Amino acid sequence: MRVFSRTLSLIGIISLVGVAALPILFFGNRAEAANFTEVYIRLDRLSDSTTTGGMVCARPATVGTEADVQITFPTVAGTDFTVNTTASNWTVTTTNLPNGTTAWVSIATATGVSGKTVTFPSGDLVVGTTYCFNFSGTNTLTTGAAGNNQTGTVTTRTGAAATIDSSGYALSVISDDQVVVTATVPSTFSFALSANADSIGTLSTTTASSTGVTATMTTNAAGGWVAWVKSLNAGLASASAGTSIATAGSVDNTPSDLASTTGYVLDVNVTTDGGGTGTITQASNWGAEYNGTNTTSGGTLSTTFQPIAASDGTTDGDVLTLIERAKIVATQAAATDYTDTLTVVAAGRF
Amino acid sequence: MRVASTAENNFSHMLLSIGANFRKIIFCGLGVHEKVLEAMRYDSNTEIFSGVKFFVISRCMLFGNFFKKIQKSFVTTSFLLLFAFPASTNYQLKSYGFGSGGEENMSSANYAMDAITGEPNSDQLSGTNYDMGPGLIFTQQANVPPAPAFTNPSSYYNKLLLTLDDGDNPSDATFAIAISPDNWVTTLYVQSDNTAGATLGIEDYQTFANWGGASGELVIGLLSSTTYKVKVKAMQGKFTETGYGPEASAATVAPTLSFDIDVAGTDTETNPPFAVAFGNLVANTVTDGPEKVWVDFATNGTSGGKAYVSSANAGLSSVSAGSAIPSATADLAVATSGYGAQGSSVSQFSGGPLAFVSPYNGAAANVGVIDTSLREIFSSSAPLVGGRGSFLLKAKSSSITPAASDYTDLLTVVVSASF
Repeated sequence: MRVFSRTLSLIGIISLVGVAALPILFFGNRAEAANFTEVYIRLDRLSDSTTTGGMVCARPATVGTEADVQITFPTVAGTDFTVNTTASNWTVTTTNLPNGTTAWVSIATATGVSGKTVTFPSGDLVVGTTYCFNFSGTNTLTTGAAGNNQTGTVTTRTGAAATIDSSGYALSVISDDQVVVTATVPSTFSFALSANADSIGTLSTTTASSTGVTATMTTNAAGGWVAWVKSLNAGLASASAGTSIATAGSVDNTPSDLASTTGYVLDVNVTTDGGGTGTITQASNWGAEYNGTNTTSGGTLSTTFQPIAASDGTTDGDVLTLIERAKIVATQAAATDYTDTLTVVAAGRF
Repeated sequence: MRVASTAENNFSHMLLSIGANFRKIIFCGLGVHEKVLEAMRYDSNTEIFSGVKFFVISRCMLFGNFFKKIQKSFVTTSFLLLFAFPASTNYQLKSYGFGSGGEENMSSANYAMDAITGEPNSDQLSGTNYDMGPGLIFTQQANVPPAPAFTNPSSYYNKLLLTLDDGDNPSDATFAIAISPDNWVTTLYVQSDNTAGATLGIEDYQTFANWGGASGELVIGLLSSTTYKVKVKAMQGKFTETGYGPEASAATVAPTLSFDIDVAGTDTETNPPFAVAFGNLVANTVTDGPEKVWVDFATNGTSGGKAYVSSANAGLSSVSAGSAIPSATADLAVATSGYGAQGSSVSQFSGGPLAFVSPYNGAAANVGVIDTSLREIFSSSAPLVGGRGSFLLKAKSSSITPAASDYTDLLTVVVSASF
C-alpha cells in the first residue's frame, strides 16, 4: 500500500507539473500578447496585380521590448499577392508620415521574408504611440486578384520571437484604382490697334515722326505670336502732287537711320512685354528690320508682310508701338496729302 | 439569495428575524458546524415554501406551528419543491439540514479549511442534463452561474460582448470567467481589464456589476475569425466557489474592408476605366469636372478608416504645351488658375460617419491640393457600413495658360482601415 501510495503521489506530482505546463506548451506567449490598439496598412496602389509600396502604422498596446515587426500580406484565391523574397528589396523610409504619428523606432530594411511574411527590425516601442514606416514599392509587393476583405496580420515580437502585439487587418483590391483626368485649354488670341490713323505732320529735311499707334496682343499660344506689317505704297504717296516719298533702305534686318538719308521708315518699339511665358523680341527675320534704336531710325516698308516683332510664349498683353518716320529733300513737291496705308496683322503660334 | 457573508460567518446558535417575508427561522446547527444556519422564506398564501431544493432535514429544532406547515407542505409538494430555493428579496435558504459537527474555517496564513462530519460526500452527481451537488460543500457554494449571454452584436473582429447571468447570487458575489479560442484545448481567463489572459488572479473575480451588469462588457483583444467559448463560476467568500456553469459561445469575424470607385455625374455605379473629362477650361473661369469620383467604403475597423487621393502630375499637365495647371489648396475664384478637389457628398448606411477632411471640406470654389502624396480626403473614426463619398474636381485656367488639348492628370484613390 505504501509503495502504491508513493506511486500515486509521484504520478500526482508529475500530473500537476504537466497540467501546470500545459498553458506554456500549448499557448506559449500568446497569453501575454494583445491586439495593437490600432493598426493599419495603406498600400500605395489597390489595383489588382499591381506593384506597390505601402505604409504600415501601429499603436502598441502591450509593454514589451520589440525586436522586429512582421507584416503578413493577404493570401487570396486566384491570383495571389506576390511577396518578393529578396529581403534587401524591402527598403523603408519614414518620410511623409501622417500627422500625429512617429517614425517607427529603428526600422530598417527587412531582415527576412518567409512566404507572405516580411520581417523588419524594430526598436523598443512605447505603448500608446502610433508608429509608422513606408516600405518601397520597387520589387517588393504585387497585389493579387481584386476582392474585399483580404486579410493579413501585423505582429511585433521580442528578441526571443515572442509575440508582443498582433492584429489582423484587411485590404480591398479593385480592378482599377485610378481616374484619368483630361482637359483642354482652348486657344486664345486677341489683337488690337489703338488707332487707325497716325499723322507724321509736316515733313522737312529733318526727321519727323508720328505719335505712334499701339498694337496689343494677348494670347495663350504656347509659341507666342508674330506681328507683321505691309505698306500699301511702300512710301508716302501724294495724289495731288503725283509724287511720293519712297521708303528708305531695303529689308535686310537692319534699320535705316534717316539721320543720314531721306525717306520713309517704320519704327516698332516694344512698349510692354506683358505677363506670361513669352518674351518679345525683334530678332533677325522676326522684326530686326524695324528695331530702330533712336528717334531717326526705322525699317524699310514693303508691300508684302514683313515681321515686325515676335514673342515666344503666352502673354496677357504685349504692346508694340508703331511709329512712322519721314525725312524729305528740300525739293520734295509740296502737298498735304502724302499718305500710306499700313496693314498690321498678328497671329498666335499655337 | 444567500445570507450576506458578513453575517454568515458570525452565525451562532441563534434565531434570526430578517424582514417581513420571514415568518420563521429554522434553528439548526446542533453540531459544531454553524454555517448551516440560514434563513428561509415561507409564503403564507400558498402555505408552502416557495421552493425547496433537495436537502436532508435532520435534527432541526422548529418553533411554533411553523413545523406543521412545513410538514404539510413538504408531503404534498415535496417533488414540486425539489429544485428551487426558498428565497426572499434578500435571502435564500440553501439548506434545511445541519451537519453532525465539524470545524468551520480553520485557517492559517495562507489556507483555510471547512470541515464537517456526517454529511454526504462532496462528489457531484452528474447526469446528462442535470448535476446534483450533495452535502455541505455544495450547499455552501454560491449559485452556479447559468450560461452568460455571449454575442457579437456589431461584427466585431477582436472583441465580443459578454453579459453574465448572476444566477441569483448576491451582489457581492464575484465571478470568474474562463474563455477559450479552441474549445478548451487552451483555457484563458477574462482579466479585470477585459482582455484574455493565461492566469486567473483574485483580481479577475469581479462582481456582476463590475462585469458590466445587465449591459455586459466587451471582452477585448481577441483573435479574428475565431469562435470563443466562455463559462463562468461564482464565489462569495471562502468555501463558496462554484464550478463553472454551462458555456456559451460566440465568434469574432474577420477584419473587413470593402472599397470601390465609380465616376459619374450622379450617384451611379460605373465600371472602369474611369475618366473625368473637363473639356475646355475657359480662361479665368472656374470649371467643374462633369463627373464626380465616388468612393464606396466600408469597414469593421475599430477606428474606422480613410480614403486617400493622389495625383501623378500634381496638376493638369500638357506635354504638347510643356505646361501645367498646378494643383493647390486655394479659392479658385480668387486664384488666377488652379486645380484641386472638393468634397461633394458623404453618406453611410450606419456607423461612421464618413466625413470630408480639410482642405477638401470647402465650398464654392475652394479646393484642396492633390499632388503626388496620398492625401486623406474622407475619414471615419468608427466602423461604418455602406459608406459612400464623392468629390468633385475643379480647374481654372488663366489667359496665359498655354492652350493645349492634352492637359492630363492621373488620380489614384486608395483606402485603408484602422483595426
